[in-house]
Amino acid sequence: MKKIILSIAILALVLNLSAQKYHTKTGVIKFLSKTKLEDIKAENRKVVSELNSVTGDLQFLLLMKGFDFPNQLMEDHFNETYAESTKYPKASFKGKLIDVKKVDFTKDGTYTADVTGKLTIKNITKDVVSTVTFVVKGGKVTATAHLDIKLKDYNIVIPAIAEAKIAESIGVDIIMDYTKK
Amino acid sequence: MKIIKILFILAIAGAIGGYVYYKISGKENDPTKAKDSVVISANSLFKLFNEYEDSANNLYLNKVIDMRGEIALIEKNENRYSIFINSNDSAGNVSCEMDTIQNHLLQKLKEKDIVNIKGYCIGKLIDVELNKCRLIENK
Repeated sequence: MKKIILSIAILALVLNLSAQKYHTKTGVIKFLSKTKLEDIKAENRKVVSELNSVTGDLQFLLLMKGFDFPNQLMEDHFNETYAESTKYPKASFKGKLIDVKKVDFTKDGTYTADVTGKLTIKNITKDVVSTVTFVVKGGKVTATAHLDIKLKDYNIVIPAIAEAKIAESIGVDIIMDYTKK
Repeated sequence: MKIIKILFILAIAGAIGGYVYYKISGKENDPTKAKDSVVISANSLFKLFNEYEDSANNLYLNKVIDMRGEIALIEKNENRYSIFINSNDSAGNVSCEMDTIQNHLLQKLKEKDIVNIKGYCIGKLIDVELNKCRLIENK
């Protein structure tokens, strides 16, 4: 009898833990480099991300070659010269919501929570901090956040000839439409 | 006469400039026009990436993949379709992000349909990812 109760308790715990996970395979990350001479935008629509609504663990993973640029020349320069996407195919973020309890994932509404974590690009990992806005509606959770990234921090070197056209710091917008796993 | 010569030179320069601009700014990355492609099944491609990711990256990254397979799932985000080709592996499939130029064809597709798709391999996350994909008709 004890074994049955224990098994049921373990099963309930496993089911409960899995119910706390939100997931997407189609997260969006956009970036914008803004200078007086030129604005450069790109979008990656296949970002994989997982969020644990109890522990606050938040992570995402993306392929650098998944960034879509308005023209092919920009895309080639990004992949070959700046991101070196063949050598460093993935970028990732692993972090935690500091105050996850501020977000009621069971109740429709808009919430904000701070996140801290480690962003890895070109095998270089840096600590980042941001604020995430969560919109909970009908069981679905949309998370948005913004980061400013200094290219120098990730060993992205801009040749002198292109310096005026590429910003030293680029704005990154993160949009994740999560569903329960 | 001199004016005609100048106008002629300007017209030629304009035409060349226009062509160069078209080539640079236009999205011309159409996998169906690539000279070479790799014909491989979703099962083999997924298995290689899942078990030997580094080697698979060396072999297939940036290559045009020519694939025939069964649609496991169709997703539409805003205006863009993603078609997941069944790899018969519970760990993942081959995800093809489709070019919006074919939306009129893609909207007719359904799960379990057999399709031919060409796209650029960009690596693996959970699924193996192909982008700039085009449906190949009548194959």
